[in-house]
Amino acid sequence: MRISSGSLPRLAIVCGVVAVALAVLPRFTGVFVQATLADVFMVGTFAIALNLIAGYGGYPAFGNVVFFGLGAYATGVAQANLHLPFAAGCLAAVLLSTLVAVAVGPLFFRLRGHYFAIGTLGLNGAVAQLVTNLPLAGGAKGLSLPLPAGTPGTIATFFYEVFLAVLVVALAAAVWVDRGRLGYACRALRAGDDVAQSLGVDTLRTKVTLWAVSAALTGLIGAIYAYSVTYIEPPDVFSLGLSVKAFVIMLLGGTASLLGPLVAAFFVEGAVALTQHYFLNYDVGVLGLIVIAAVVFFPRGASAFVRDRFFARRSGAAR
Amino acid sequence: MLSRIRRFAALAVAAAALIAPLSAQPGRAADNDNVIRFGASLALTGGLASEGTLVKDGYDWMVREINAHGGLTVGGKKYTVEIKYYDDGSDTPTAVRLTKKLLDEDHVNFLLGPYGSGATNATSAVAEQYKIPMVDAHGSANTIYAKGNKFIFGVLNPADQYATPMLQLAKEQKDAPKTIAFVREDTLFANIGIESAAKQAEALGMKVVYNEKYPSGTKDFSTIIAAIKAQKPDMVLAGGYQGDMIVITRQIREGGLGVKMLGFLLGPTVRGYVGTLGALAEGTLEPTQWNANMGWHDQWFNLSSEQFATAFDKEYHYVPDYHAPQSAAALEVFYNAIRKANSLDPQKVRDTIASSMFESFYGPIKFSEGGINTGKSMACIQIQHVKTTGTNEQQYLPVPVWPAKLRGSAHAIYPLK
Amino acid sequence: MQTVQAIVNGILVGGFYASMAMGFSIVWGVMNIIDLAHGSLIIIGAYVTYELCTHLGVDPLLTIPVAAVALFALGYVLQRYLINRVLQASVFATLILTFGLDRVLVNANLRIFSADIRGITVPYTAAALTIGDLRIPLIRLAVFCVAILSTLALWLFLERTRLGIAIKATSFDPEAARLSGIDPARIYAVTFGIGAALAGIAGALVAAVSTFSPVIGDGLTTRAFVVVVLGGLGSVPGAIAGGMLLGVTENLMASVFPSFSDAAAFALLIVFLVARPRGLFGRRFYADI
Repeated sequence: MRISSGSLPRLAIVCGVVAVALAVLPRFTGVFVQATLADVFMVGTFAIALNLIAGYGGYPAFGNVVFFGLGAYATGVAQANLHLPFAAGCLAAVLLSTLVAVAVGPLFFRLRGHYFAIGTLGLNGAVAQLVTNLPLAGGAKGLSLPLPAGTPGTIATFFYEVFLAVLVVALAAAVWVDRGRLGYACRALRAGDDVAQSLGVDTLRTKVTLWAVSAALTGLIGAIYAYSVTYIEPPDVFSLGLSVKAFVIMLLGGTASLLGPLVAAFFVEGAVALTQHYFLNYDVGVLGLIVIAAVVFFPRGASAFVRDRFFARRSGAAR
Repeated sequence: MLSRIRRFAALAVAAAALIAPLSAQPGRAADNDNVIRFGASLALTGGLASEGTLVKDGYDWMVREINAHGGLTVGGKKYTVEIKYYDDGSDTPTAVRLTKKLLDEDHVNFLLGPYGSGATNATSAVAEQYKIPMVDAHGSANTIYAKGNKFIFGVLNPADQYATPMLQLAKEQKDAPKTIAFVREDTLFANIGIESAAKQAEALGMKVVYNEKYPSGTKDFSTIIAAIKAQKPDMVLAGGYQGDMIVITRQIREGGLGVKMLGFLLGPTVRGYVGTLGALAEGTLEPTQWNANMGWHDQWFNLSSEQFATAFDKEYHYVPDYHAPQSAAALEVFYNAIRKANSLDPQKVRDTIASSMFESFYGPIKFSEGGINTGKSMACIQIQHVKTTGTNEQQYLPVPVWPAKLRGSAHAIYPLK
Repeated sequence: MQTVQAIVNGILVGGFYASMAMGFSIVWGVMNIIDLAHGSLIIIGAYVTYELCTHLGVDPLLTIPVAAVALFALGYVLQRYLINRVLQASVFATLILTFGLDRVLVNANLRIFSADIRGITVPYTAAALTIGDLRIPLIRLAVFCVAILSTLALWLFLERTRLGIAIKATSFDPEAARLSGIDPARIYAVTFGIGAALAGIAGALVAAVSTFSPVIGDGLTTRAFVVVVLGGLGSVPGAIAGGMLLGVTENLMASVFPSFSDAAAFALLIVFLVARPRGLFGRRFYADI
């Protein structure tokens, strides 16, 4: 949703307060809550990053998880083979993902709609195959990263804070895209490349920037994830399941929306946690029913629903 | 009217959304609870679901057996045993997350392993981080036990030993196979198994004429088989998970590939192989971690291997392959250690496990420095058309054919027609 | 010689792939629905065949009509009473819906049939046509023929029957179709039913030449995706051509570097997307998102 100029400072304050509250939460809660929330932050970031290219950019990147995998392996190789510290691994992840997005972007942006979606699926598959056949990265035998130091408690808090920080960065990036010149360019793009160009928008640069930011964020959480799980195999991190889940979350939350993906991430991850906990033999099906119900009742996404119901202007249509 | 329902639904959903992730917490178990809890993340859905279900049956059987024998007495107090399961959907990252959940939230005392080398590898790191011992029954990759992890123990023989019985059997034959071809799924367990097999084959004087891997998810092997056929090998060894092995067996027949010996790291004894292939399964070889005729005798539960098979069949209505007793053995390792240590302290139990030395209906258990079982070694079966004991009905059943003392009066079909 | 065998294998398996893709392609092309549950529908078809074969002892290929009818009914009902509710909303909404539906079907199959891997081995598995060094197993040839025949049947249906033409008309312009007396809702339900019926046929073929279990559906859907892109959206001959192209590529790579056969398939996909996104036989006017 396009946040009006007036309400942005108010929103920022609310978000700031929430962020601080979340940051100190570990003092009061146990490891499980922190681990669960860290998961939500990670998936939420994934969905927000996806929204940048798919929602704002209009390019449905089904295979955006390729950057997650690249990030995971970048830090894996950096830490396990080159014995560099975690921070260096994260940097490598961001650089590699951004580089790939910038390199393939111009080629892929010639595809539209479904074809772009499948193209990114193909990209993900191809990169996964490349990594599988690369002995340096462990191939199909997987890659073991060094264990983080500390007790389970401190480790859980560490990853909680890191994922929270990245989520805040992702939201900031989304605001920057939504509000700034980039946001204007995106809206122009939505009207069509020709229209955008006639308005003076450099369409290719806009698209590449969007994807690069999306890739960087996705690669970063891939790297953090790899460190937290300590052992990765190509199918784990170039996972179509994660990509589809993030897409579903993004759509449930409402595209081109700032907070929509995050709320939906809470909802879906919560649903997954509940079903796994209570329905041992039916968790998959129950989750499916929940998703079906969600889309039947909110076909245009939760944020559209919220917008229409709670933020519709009295005069004229809700924008 | 509808919109009011929707509005209410929206608010309910929003509220649920925000508290849902945090509400999936069971009550904390009281400390003076009389239950010892084991935690296991298993592949109950997903690509490895058929194997995962076999594992659960084995674990469940052992829980019942232990509780039927009075449970465990520790420090004078009597305990029953329970397992808390979560379904990881055959997804390694999920297995890691669920294992942490079992420790952080369900406060299980100890861990049982998941299914598969990848998942075991990843979850064993969690066990090490939390310093809670995990005994696994289905992580055969040697790399799991070579990381210096002190909290992982595997009751099975590792992947690099899988091919040994089949190669040894080959060597024993008159007019033994001279050339061999390997094909495997590009996955951790199959890679280790076949790479080791190739080395062993060469050491035994065989010539390796083909050795390739195929990506996971491949559905059609006809061209690979044609390529193998062109090399005219005497023997073929394949590695991977069960679904592929069934298709490979079928396509070997379709492709007209005639070999003297055909072996699989895994497949012929897993449920569904014989059922799907029928006569085509005849003559296939598989190494086995366990067989009902091995004649082990359990130190704790007064059961022989064969008696275990009968009791399990009565309870679950299928004859167990090695998955069930192997899983049961993992739990039995804890039983043995907890009794000997007379404690539930994770470190004490861990140390006692490390010095385990006992015989289970599954076989002898003794752990190496790295945590893998060195007390027993693998045997080899061949699917043959034989009479089921006690009837005149002929079925395709696994018959032990190596080592010789297990073979008894049976004989290995060689060469295959 | 091996190369020729590889190409022949590729063509044979291509027909098999095409059967998996055809239903997917029709539903996508006509209704703009990417049916993520397509793989699970194929699996249900496979179970129908499996149950009939094991209880009645018939050849799997003879069960095809039953599988087709059963899946048609299922597809019709699913579209009419469930998917139709979100059809108006957006393409994305149907995507999520079919995702959720797929999860439900997978779980249902797991509970009803268990996770055991199944397949049917026909008595004539080893029988093959041999032309010199070339070997063509009869069962694979039969599967290939079934795939081609069902393609032909589908094509004839769409081109020559009133219902088929009505379906095509509705996909080009639902409003105009409505004005000429066609009921889009019914057409959509029939179309989805046909897509499901084709999945059912593919399922029977899966049971005959491959193995299956409730959890392999995703891989089948992905394959259908790739075939549709290669062959062209909504094109029936395209499905065959795309399937064969994919099959031949995979098999040629398998004859030299098997571990790269998947990589080759992905590379092919990307090349097509970049050079010829509408595929071999696709038509330009199918709407993008």
